[in-house]
Amino acid sequence: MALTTEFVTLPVDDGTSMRAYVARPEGKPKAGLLVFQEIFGVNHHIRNIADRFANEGYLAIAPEIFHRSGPGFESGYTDMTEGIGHMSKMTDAGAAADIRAAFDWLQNAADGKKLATGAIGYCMGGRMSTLAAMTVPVACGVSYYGGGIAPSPFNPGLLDRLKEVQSPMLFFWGGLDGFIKPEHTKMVTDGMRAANKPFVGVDFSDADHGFFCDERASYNANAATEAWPLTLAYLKNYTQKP
Amino acid sequence: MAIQTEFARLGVADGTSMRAYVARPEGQPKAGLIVLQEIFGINPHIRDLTERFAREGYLAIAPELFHRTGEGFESGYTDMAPGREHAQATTDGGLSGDIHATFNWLHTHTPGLKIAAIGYCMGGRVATLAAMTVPLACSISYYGGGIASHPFYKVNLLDRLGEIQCPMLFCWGGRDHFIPPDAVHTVTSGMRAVNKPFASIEFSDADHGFFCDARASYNPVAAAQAWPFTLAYLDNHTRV
Repeated sequence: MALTTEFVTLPVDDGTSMRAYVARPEGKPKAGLLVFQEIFGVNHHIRNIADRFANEGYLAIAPEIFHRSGPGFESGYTDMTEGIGHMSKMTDAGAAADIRAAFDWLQNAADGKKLATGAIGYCMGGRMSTLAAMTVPVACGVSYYGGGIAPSPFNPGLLDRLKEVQSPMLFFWGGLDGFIKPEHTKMVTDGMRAANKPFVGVDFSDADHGFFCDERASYNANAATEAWPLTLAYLKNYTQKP
Repeated sequence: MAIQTEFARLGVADGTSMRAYVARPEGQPKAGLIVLQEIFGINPHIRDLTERFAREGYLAIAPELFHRTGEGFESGYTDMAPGREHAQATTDGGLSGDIHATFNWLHTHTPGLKIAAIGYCMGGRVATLAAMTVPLACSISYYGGGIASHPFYKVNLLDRLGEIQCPMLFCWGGRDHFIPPDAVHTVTSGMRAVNKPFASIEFSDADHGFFCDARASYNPVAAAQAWPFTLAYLDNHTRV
């Protein structure tokens, strides 16, 4: 399937404007998909993921969540300092506004017909997709090794807000993740259960943070190739009526 | 893919003989697969699963684990009593003999190929036992009862997890009354403690038996997600 890609600029309701990478499938999209970045920006890996979803029929948009402090920012994986600097300037209110802007764009992107839309995010973006599930009517949310859902050194977490989650969530975790340890994973799944929110939780015991990123040293081919068809089946279940 | 099915008869080391349902793919299999039953016997659901894996290219064999007390036993899902009785008559020693017999049969019929195991309900426990007993490429447990403590199974496997010799995939239903989240946590933290690689997936709103489309607890959404995940896991670990 041939896809087309472009950058668009979206107005955000706090008066800022936000660039976003868009990947469009050929023909009518099956559904919309918000793709939330890692702290490394909307870099080659995130654009590649958006492209892969477009190849599966999704109209995918990856907004630049660091647009306020670093428009156009992207980095490699060896130095995390700059990315962490941008992340520490974010607020949940700003993130919610960005989510609404990207979601609204998807709603209006398909010739007047509202697209069922999922959200997926990686690392910091896993927290964003959880926030998206609280903020806009997504059909489902997917978080890959989402940091800061449980409390982390960088973030107080979202545990006391899990009751606000409005869609089913799929969580992936790497058992070797030094930032998100099994006890943190358990806090999230216990919290979802306590709030009676449906979820699927997947733990790959021998995978590290970033296991899905084939441009990163922590890439785990087995975990990545197992997570991918599950993710597609999950998105299909919730965004496409049988 | 056109498949062929038959019942085979296998000799077990304790002198018993065991019937097994075999489903063969068309052409050369890509690997061997031991399919381990629920307490309901080698019934239409287990035969159907065996066939589904054969259509995916696996030489699949489902041994009758109740052969000592009920050859040919199969039941529906409304009355669990007969199946439970047969299950309680099994011993881990006897099951190990059955696993060896099935593994050896596959080894003969798939020379040079890898062999994996998958089991459901009681079979999930037996799949874990198989991972300790024969050199599998990987093993998969769907809502395996009796890995952690369980009312129906006399012996749990928690203190034996260190004997596991292959990667394991565990699938759980969050609404499973027999295997509550605490029991799941006991298994996964036990695996972590002995440093054994595993993948674990929990479907919070699925019940025990969620994969069985012949059962009231069938959850088509969870089943449709578990299936491609399972195939990818098998493929990654059995590919030669």
